[in-house]
Amino acid sequence: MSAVIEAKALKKQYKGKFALNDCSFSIGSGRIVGLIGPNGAGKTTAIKAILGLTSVEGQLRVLGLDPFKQREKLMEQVCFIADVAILPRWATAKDLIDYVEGTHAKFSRERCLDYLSDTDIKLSSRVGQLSKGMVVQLHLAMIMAIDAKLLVLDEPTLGLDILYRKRFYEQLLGDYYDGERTILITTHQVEEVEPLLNDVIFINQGKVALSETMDALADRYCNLTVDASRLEQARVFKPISEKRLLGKNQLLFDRADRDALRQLGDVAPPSLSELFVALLS
Amino acid sequence: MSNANRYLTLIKRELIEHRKAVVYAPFIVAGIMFVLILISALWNGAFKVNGTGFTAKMLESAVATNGEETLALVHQGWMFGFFMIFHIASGIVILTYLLSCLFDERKDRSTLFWRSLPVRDWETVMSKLVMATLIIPTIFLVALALLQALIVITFVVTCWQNQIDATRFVWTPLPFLATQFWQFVSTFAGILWALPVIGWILLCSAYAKQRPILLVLLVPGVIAAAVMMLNLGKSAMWAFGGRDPARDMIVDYFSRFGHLFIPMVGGNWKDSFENIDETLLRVEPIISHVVSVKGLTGALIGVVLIGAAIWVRRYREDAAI
Repeated sequence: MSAVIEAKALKKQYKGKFALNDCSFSIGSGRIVGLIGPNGAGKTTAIKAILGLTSVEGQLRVLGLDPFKQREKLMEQVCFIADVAILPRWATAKDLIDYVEGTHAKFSRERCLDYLSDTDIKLSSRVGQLSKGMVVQLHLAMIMAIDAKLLVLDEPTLGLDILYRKRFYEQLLGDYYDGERTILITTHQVEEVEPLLNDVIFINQGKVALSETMDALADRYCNLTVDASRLEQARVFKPISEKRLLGKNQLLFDRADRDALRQLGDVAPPSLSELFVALLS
Repeated sequence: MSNANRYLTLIKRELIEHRKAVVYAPFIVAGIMFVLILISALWNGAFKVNGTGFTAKMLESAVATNGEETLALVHQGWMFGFFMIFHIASGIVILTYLLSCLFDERKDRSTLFWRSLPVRDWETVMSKLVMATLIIPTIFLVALALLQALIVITFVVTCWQNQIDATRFVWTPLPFLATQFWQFVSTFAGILWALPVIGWILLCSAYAKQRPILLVLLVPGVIAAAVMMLNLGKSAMWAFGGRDPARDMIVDYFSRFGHLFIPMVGGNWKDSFENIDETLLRVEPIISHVVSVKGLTGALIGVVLIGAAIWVRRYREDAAI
């Protein structure tokens, strides 16, 4: 698996405060990766660095290029949706499609129009008159019509209702992802992206707190639900977090003996959001 | 994909985004003016020029008062009048365009969309410069030429209505093509002369966090005030032939700024407007004024400031405001 993004010891300071502090990770080709962290964790700085929109200390290569120095070349192979508000409000769908067609060699107008035909967006529709959800649909239709190697999505469904969010990810997975393209997603709506992800990177205070494949996560972590009477026995296995749940206790373990835990209660894999809260709170 | 196609796409984007000010406004101004001319022609006396409407009667009256030899000057005069109006309008459009072109995309965060495509920052900034320095003035010149041609037709038709000899009163004395050429030279010489100001406005548009116009005017204004209060240039006067270089630079800045709006007639403001009869339609004083050490130094400063605007768009950390 060749690395699409290779980040080593990235550092970035804003007014004396570290946004990225010795941050290292690697993202392989053909993976769907979630970059997840609390507000101010350094996600946006990492994304901006990957897109060449900000300079960072350390080593960063994206598709073999230095993103800050070779940003234009990189943009031939990378697409991104920053959030819902960035399409210019004065432009019509046709204006934007014409522009992307005129500036991006790997854009297919036919494919874009094909995606748009499944929506209520007309070519004459002005961005300013579209709902937030439709703006994202338009942006996604254009992005999906570009034959890029890496797609970066920074909070792409922020502010959208659940129907648009669901449709967004369905379309992304059904029509765009082909097993060769790499998709990097940052979002707070962890539950919604969890089924999509191959890999996950937790980032906190500018550092990578966890970087694993989803399969490895399932092997490594487990939840144990036990009665209060067996709580002390469970604690012997050194849980990394505990919480009370409907009169029972739920304990999260890292690399614990599952057979032994099963003697004490119900064992189940944790959700990504449970893991997120346990590891980063 | 050819580079030419890419550049056309960038220009097309600008034309669409600013179509109201850049494409429609010049022709709307021309249209309104022509309607007023028509009203003056149809209802003689509604808008009086030399006691007549804007018709062949005006030409006849001018000949009766000042003699036939002044007819060419009369034609030059009305054409210059409309050129002034269009130049001011064009200057306002160029100024507002330059102020907004690199600022609005940061304000509405669309810069993140534009910069997600493989377009170099210098290409984007150059497309905006081409708009401001070539395309907007050209569209205004075309609209002006159209208006002037329609007015000539109005003169000819009213000559015919009043049994006045159109060849004698219009065709022979009218320097139509020479005026078009002169307007072209004056417009683009003025643009070249104002290039440092244009570069400065572009830089302010790329850099400002709030209202670029404040930077455009306040920075030179504050410098001017400081220079004058502290007499900063006085200590260097010995090296500049007794002139205060700092004061000269500030005056020069606002003079060049003014040339965005006021057409360049001759070598300097005062002389050219006082002797306008002699300088009008002469391109040599304009060209020799612009193609000079002062003119080319200004152009060079303009190029540096445009380079700075490209640098700011390329390397600024906070792409959106």
